[in-house]
Amino acid sequence: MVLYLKEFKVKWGMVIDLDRCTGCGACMVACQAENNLAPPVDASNKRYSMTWMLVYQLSNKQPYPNHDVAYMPRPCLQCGKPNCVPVCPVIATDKNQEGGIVSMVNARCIGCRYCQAACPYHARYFNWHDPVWPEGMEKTLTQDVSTRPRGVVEKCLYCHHRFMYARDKARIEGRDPNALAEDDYIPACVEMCPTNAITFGDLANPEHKVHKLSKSPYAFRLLERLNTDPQLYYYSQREWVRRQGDNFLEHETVGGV
Amino acid sequence: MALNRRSFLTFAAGGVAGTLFTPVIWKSIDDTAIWTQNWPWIPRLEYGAQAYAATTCKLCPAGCGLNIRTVSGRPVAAEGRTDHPLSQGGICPLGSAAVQLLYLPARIKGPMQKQADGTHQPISWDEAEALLKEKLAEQRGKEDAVVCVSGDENGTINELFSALLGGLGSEACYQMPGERQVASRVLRQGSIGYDLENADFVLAFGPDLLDSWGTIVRNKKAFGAAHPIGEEASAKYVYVGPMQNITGGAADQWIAVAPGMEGVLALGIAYHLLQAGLTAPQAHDFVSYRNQVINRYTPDFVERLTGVTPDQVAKLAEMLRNADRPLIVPGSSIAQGGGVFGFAAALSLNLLFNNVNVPGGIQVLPDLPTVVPGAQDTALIRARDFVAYIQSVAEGRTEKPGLYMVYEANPLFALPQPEVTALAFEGSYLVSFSTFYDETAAQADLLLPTPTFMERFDDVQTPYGSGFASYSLTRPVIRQPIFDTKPTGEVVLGVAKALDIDLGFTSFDKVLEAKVSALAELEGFLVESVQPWEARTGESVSAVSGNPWRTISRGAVWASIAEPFPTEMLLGSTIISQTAPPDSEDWAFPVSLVSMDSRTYGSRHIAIPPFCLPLLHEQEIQGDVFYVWMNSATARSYGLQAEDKVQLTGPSGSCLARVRIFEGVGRNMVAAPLGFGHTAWDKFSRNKGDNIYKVLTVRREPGSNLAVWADSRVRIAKA
Repeated sequence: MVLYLKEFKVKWGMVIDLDRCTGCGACMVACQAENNLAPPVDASNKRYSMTWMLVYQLSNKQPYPNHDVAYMPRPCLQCGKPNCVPVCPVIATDKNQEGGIVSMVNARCIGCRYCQAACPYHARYFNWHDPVWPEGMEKTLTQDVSTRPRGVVEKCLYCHHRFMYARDKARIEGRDPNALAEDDYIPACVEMCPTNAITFGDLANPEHKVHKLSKSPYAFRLLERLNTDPQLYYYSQREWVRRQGDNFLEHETVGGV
Repeated sequence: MALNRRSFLTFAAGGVAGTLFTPVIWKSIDDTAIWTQNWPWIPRLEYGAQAYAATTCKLCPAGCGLNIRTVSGRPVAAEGRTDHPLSQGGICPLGSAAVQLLYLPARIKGPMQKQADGTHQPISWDEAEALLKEKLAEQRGKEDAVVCVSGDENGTINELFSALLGGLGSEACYQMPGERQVASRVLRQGSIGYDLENADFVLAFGPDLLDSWGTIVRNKKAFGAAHPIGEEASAKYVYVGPMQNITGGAADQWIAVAPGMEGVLALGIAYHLLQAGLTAPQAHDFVSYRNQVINRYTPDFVERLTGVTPDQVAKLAEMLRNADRPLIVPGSSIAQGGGVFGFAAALSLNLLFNNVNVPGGIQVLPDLPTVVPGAQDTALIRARDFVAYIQSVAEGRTEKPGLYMVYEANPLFALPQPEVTALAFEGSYLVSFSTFYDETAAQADLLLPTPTFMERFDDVQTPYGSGFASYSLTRPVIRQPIFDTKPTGEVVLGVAKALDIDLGFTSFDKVLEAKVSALAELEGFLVESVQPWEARTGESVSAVSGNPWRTISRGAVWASIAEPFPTEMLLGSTIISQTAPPDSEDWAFPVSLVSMDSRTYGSRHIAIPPFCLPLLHEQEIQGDVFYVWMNSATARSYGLQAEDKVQLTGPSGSCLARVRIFEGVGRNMVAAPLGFGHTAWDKFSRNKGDNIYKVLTVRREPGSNLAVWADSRVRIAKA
């Protein structure tokens, strides 16, 4: 149960077009470089590998040649009613900034991993080991995101530093930092996507594309019936894809036309 | 005053309340949290001025624009460039991981020489260049005794190599195999471009447009732009291929076809188009083409070979006819090793729609002028078949050369049947210019490492697949090269000078400057607000003015859509009749091998970068074992289940893998990714999976006599 509810005037969110995503993973690489993740020597054990952004493969499970696939990139969903926030004993993660991004203060994290257990989307990762960069590669660290040591949880923050830069820029230019335009603030994954599969913007602002798209009959959210209210929508015109967004029973219908 | 129960409790409660007011506890908890996370071995961020440097990627032939973000001069991240027509702000996973490659442990730190015990020991550049000169001088004057193979399809550096070889009396300049080779059998001068952006129906017969073929990011941008979210698609993409690869999965429709039979399906479609009265009067061989197609590629015959029902074939023909600007793209699913038959057959459909040099059609693109005196004609080099040459040397039919020079290529790993390459290389002096310690460098006698593309000047001429001719420069984004490396262009110029061969230039920068000046010979423009494909539909562009070197070296892209020469197009009836695929069963190797390529697995000369490892999902690699994909029916017939270990055996090698059940692969086929199983490099890519090139088999395509291997066959058994 969520003990508090805060409503935001601005809700940064994504609509990811699963019919356009080819699953190439450029978003995942861009994310690692942007957020200073250490290069893994082996990433085949997914329980131990760090990927703030992860692309899942979906299948319609039909035999050849009627088989179909879709790819589903999954950053943090920035839930409106996050399960991870109320369980944190030290308020290392919170949802209280205008914009609705679920924060993560690594330095405050005590590594209890309650939030990881609470997140239904597996969007949180725990540093089982200290990060290691091969000799010299630490010179490729950006100046925007601190490195995290062993024993803390981390997750996608919609490139929050880019949000801060965008607000700063707006202030300098004399604009209202609380009324950013669509192109002012774009996370790395959205910017690099070669098919432009991800649309980013303020879900609460009717002038932003995501606002209208999120209301499309083809838009859906993951495990919507858990009532976590994510600020991330998926979009697919394929019924079988939308069906995989939740644990539907056979007789249940999903949204869409 | 006695301490009674009441006063004790009061004192205790007061004490607890009191401590809550002192900051000591909170401060110390906060400090503990901070200091237990503040270890000296975890690198801290370094702050500084942030800047961007625009350059062009050389990690694969696609030629995307990259914006390298630097902090105090240190490159920190590779981003897309919105002003580059070949990538339009997008980036592929390999390009995105470019910056970290600067510090990859596999980088060769300086020139090295192989010792008697097989190890490599550092030497100085002076010694290294003297050694190269000496070895080249030994071969001077002998016919084709020096062989050069380049994995750089688009660089002007190839001109330096061919001119140097010319001076030594050798013509043996080769390119690593790719689509260009096949295309050159159809169009001798210039190259074939595909105007995806203006097409409203794209039918791909094999090429993995969205993952590994041609101008990948540009293809994806075109695909994305044609499928705007929340709106009607403006172009339909249909993929024809044996497996549901990335393109097959993302396209609006996937037509499953028997491996290697894409061309037959294309002619099956041509049958319907010809019946419907479509003609190509501009092609001299139309009558013989028509006769062949009508007589041979009947719906029944096509169904038997391709497995595609006559209804579906007729429907495809109808879809093509209903489209305003259909574009048919031929190619191989791994962008190499395909035959001329499939290529010419698919390409011929464009001619039936009179789809040449029109918006949304195939384009004849000029080769940019050569500038190095004595350099061989680009078209000539492109048409040479390196795989056939290597096979011939290995079998002793051609005399073994004295020296091989390998540039931006890894032939001991990335050629089909690498053991044949090893045989052909054995005993010859091997010089590697590789940046990384790859399989070829590991065997080389002399290592002359070239810096990464972020540390040197280089260029990209029209990449294969692009719909327009283009030119852009690669430039250093870092002040000093990180290691003791030397750009190969400078090494070649230096050694030529030492050998008294006049290449006409003193430095590689000057070669590139000359190239930029030579662009004036062609009608072109600098891409600003109008994109080349918009210019093709009539948007006006202004000619190049000012100092082109200045603008282009700062990142501007030169492009041209001018038709270079009147092209006489043939439908390729001779090629098609001579090279029709065999209609036979192979009982020794009953399973078709469908190999897959992806920029996630690196490229032909770059092993999978560290940042791409998390992209491989659980059923692509587990520990050191990789997966091959087959559908459940195939697995069942071989007594296999998901996760079982399986041995793939080809006529000349075998591979070990695990089984992944994937229903997007046809019956009696096994799909396997290229790019795994490196044995050199570093811990990020070494010994991960197995090298599928080992089980690819080279055969000669009848008629064209081209070496082909995209349609290899294997035997599979539980291991």
